[in-house]
Amino acid sequence: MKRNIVLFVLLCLCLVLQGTLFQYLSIGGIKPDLVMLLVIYIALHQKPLVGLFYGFGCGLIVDMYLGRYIGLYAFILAVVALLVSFIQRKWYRENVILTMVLVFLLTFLGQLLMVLVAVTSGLQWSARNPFDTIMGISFYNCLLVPLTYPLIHRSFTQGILKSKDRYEQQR
Amino acid sequence: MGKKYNLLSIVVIVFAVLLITMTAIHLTEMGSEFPNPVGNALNRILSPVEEVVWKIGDGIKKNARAIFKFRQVVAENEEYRKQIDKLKSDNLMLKEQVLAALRYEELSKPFNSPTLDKYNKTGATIINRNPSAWYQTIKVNKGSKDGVKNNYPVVANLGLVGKVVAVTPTTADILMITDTEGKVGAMVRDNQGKPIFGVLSGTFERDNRLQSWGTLEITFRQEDEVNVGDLVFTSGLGGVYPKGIPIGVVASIKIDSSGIQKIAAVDPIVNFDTLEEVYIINILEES
Repeated sequence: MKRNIVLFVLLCLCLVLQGTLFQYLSIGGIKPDLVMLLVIYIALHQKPLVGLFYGFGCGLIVDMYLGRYIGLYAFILAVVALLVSFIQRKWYRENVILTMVLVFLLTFLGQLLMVLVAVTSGLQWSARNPFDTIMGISFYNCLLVPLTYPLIHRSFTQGILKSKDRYEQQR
Repeated sequence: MGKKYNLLSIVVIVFAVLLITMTAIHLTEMGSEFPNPVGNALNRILSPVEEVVWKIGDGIKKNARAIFKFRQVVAENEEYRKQIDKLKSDNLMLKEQVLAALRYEELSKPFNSPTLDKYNKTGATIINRNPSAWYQTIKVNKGSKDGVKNNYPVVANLGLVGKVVAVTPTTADILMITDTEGKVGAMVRDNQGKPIFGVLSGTFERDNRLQSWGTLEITFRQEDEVNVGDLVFTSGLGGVYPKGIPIGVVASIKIDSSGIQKIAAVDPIVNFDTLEEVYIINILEES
């Protein structure tokens, strides 16, 4: 319970910072996708189906917060989380560099999927070159990993976010 | 994974999920309305936080700019100051031109005041001027028989003349505003349209009739924004004169000897020397 509350607070923090602080830190109009980053971090430390659940939940909250396109983030983040939780079983989670690569790839995939789903659903999105935007977001997310991941990882393995199930020990 | 799942069910599930997702996205497009209590609650909770972070960020951004680009900011400042000075003088010039135009219009047609239209007016002809050594008065051919009473304001076609100070059955004496006794609650509008109130008084004094300094003056506070060319109206304060009757135009401004007050000399709109006909306003009766 405490764990979920902390995760919820982190999610809120991501939502707030995304629209405020990172508005100032945006490079050429490109901001990181903090929620996707958070979901990747969470899924890195969960069993596949639990990761899927967290991804979907976080995505739904984001959709409701944004108040439009309900289901878009929920779907994308669920897929990303599912993939990450599969990958993490054979991945060196302790290695920051490898995590950066993972974050880059998964963010790229997630954003690409988002554009595809959005376009397929008939949404008129901005005319900016989508590839540049996706690359930018992925790169920015990847840059944030060294700053954030060590802390989050420690919290997931030893600190307040440590899960109680035996899955972590067996892994 | 493996044996437990067959391919068909996975395909069906993926397809169903995609379909549901896309339908949901489509139904909740931008601009569509749907109940969203969770989102509303979340926004209500998070918006104050966002506001604070935003303000902090904004402050940092602005200050950081001022620090890192100090030279540029200083140069810009300099430039803006010059521009402000130029605009100020331009503004003053334009204002004078506009006021000149206004004045011209004001002078070339009878003024029209809704306040005055409320009252009955009695036209009267001047039968005697009495610019005595004591009072600046004129005498007109209407008196108490025509309903004229003491303290009735008197206007000419173009603006304020004075008030009735003495009445006989057939004549009335009018104290002109150019007399020191004839004080008028007056008002000037500043460049934001805010009224500045002052008391206008004539400068015709018994002991000194040779004043180079106009015939009317108003005292303002030092900080009041009064400019040469501003129109002066009655303020309606003080009870005798209705509001909004034109009096004159500010001709010059000087600081008084104490340095606390500004004195503005006012050129009356009405030419008192050639005045022949006036209206006496019955302010006790509304028409």
